[in-house]
Amino acid sequence: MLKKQYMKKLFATLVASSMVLAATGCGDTPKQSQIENTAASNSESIAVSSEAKSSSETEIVAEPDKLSVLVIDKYVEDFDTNYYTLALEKEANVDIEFVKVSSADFNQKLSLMINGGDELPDLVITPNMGSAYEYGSAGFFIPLNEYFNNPEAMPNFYEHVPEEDRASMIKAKITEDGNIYAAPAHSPSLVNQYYDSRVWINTEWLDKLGLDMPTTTEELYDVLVAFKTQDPNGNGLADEIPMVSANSGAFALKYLMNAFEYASNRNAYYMNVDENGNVYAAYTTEEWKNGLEYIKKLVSEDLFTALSFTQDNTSTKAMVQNPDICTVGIYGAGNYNSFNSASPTAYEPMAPVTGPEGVRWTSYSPIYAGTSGYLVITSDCDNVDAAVRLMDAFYDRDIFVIACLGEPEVDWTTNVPDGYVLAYAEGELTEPGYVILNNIWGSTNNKHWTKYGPTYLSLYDPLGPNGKGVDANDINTTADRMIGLNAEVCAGLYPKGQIVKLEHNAEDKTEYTDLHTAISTYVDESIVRFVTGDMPLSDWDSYIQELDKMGNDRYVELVQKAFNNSGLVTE
Amino acid sequence: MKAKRLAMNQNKTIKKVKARWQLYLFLLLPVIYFCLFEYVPMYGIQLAFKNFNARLGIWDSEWIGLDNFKRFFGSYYFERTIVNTLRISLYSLVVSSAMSIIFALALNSMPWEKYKKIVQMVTYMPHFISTVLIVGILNMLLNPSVGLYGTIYSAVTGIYTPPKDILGMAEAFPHLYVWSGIWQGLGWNSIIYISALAGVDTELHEAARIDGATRFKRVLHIDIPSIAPTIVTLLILKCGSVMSIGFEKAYLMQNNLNLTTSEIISTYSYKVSFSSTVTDFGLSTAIGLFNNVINLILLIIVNTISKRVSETSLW
Repeated sequence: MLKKQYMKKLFATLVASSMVLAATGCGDTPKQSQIENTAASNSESIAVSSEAKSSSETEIVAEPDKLSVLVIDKYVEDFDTNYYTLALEKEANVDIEFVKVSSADFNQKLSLMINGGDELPDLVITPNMGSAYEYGSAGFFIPLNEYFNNPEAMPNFYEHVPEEDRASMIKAKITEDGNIYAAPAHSPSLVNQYYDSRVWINTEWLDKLGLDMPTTTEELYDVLVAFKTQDPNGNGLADEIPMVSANSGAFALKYLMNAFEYASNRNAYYMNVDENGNVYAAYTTEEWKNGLEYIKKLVSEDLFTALSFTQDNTSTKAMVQNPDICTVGIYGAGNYNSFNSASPTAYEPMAPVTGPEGVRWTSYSPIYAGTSGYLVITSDCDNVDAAVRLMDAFYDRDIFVIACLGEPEVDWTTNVPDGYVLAYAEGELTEPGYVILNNIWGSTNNKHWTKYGPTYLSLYDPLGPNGKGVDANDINTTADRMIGLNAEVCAGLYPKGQIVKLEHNAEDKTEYTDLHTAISTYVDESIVRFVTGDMPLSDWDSYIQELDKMGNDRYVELVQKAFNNSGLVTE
Repeated sequence: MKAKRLAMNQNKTIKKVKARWQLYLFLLLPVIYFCLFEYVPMYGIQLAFKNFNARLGIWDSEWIGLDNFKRFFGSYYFERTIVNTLRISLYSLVVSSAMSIIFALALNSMPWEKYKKIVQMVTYMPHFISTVLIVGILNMLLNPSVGLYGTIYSAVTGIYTPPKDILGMAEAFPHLYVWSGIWQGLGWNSIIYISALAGVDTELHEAARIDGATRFKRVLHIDIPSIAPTIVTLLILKCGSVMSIGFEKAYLMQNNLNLTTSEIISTYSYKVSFSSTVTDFGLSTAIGLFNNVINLILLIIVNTISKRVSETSLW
């Protein structure tokens, strides 16, 4: 009897516990069932008008063709009534039905739609899709070679993109199997070439303490000590943070390392190329070790705060933008973000310093067509002609200006008032061609899609860097001007050989991915552990041995191979 | 003879089912759930042994034998991720079970009903906060410069150089992980124990009180033995998920300085298979399968031991 009661109790607890387990979701692997059925809304058939098929490129057919397009739902109030949408629809004579996906999990959603066997929308437009080749070669996207090589199919592309850039854009999008699956975008920016090791210095503090802009690592050390000990913000407290960096310290780390050994950009991942075109790993050199030693000195004396390695960008920003009192001497960040701080104009870009061996580099990202902005036509598309027309419309110049700035004469104007010397074009600050009247960039609006999709911006475009124009309300303190100045002090300070793009052979790809994940994790971790003293530099030899064990030689070999395959060499 | 008895037994069973058909109807729902969402998807396990190609589908993709497993076992971080996973998992298993039991016992022996309810409510609320927010709160609290920890430190000591960064200490990671988890889950995890305690026979307590047993003695000799089967059952169940710790929290709390202790199986497999642009379903299935096989083995071992020692077991 007692036993029975006892079993009952046990059963009740079990039921309760299973309910709790179910509620908390004890399984961790994402289930296919969680996929939001985004494709459901576009399963309706697409009417193919026979006129559209027979039409030549000049004739406009009365009835617009229906197309479904997968887009990221970001910055746009309403895709259907958006000014840019209407311009595109008019140019291409299509009627677009949007399938919207949130930006955070766009790639996963697309991957699940494809792998889950859903019917795909006619086109997919995304700012960045690295997997066009994998899906394309598997037959989900159609090859676009014939359209991009045919001026009649792509009139706008041929009219508005100069031949030279056209060739490099097409070349950049040719995949391993010789096909083009994604429409290329070209948005070169002279200023963003020097993004990776951007560092800003508080010039008010320099003036106050009577210091010169540091030019060597020694001088930099002295300046940091002065910042720390001489109370430059004058509040009587030793609360100054001489140096801090966003992005897990990466900006400042690269800046400092560049005085010892070239620290290449994020895509090349510390793989350098010597004069003979041989790839080598920077993080195994003696110079790298010296760089670590120098950085370690700064970190151990609290000149370069170790917080940089653990805190997130929001906290770093909070430090720099402190509205009460300025506490930061030097900060590493990709953007000029000292606005709203106690000293909004104190910071200026800092030129690379020279190391003890005379090394002076800056991390460089070569201009290269087609790194962002993709449009693909899926194999589920029934009306390829209309899709190609829409694809081509993106390259139209008028439409492109709308894509960048919004509605003409409402959001921007070409009647530039006197006194504007702010756009950074042709390698120097010049008069802008466009002035923004109403700055909607980066905020939700109904005028454009924030330059999204396959677009073309020439290097010398009067639209200015990134096609963002110049804000009429923000004359002399723009971040753009500061970034332009940064580009000036960094110009040309990079080794001749650069890895622009890696093209792996299909059979090497998995091996490369595995090696890359393991090695890059280990190297990033080791850099931070070395400079914080968590791992003493006397362990350098065992660090090298560890890398050998992980297969670093093979890794370098694979990078060399992919580098040679790409055939892209910087001058 | 035997057949006849069997038939009679069957009749009996059918009769029993008919008599309580409502209960069986209730049972039908979970059965359908398990078939649909747990058993049917198992068909995808074959991906662990295949080179998945979406065009060909799950069934027609090419068999590659154990290549996916070899990739996982051969990876440099295999050992480290296993050790880290087990460390965090077992640590949190032991501490969180112990804490929830103690908490439930304490709450149960509290005489003031209203206060008890308030405490219970307050402690289980954090369960509903998302992991992302919890980690955000942790970061804000513990930031040595702009966080609460740093502010208090400089206010108390008068030193404005930030103190040592706890979030960057590898040895602190397991503690942060587990104790923040306890803060979040204590109330929720103790619900089962509290409900088990509610079922303890009050006559036993009365008898003990008459015999002069103190409150502590009553907890020790009545409450704990009464809920022992529940404790053991839950422990066994938890051992069945030792290898599968949630990925989000560890991933969000990671930085380059604590990676030696914070890289667990799920975060590593995410980095290898999902953060690359092309999702590698084969490898991630293989890792998931491996985890579950280990979990199953652990579950069976623990259950067998428990059966021998305490006569409580799942089956």
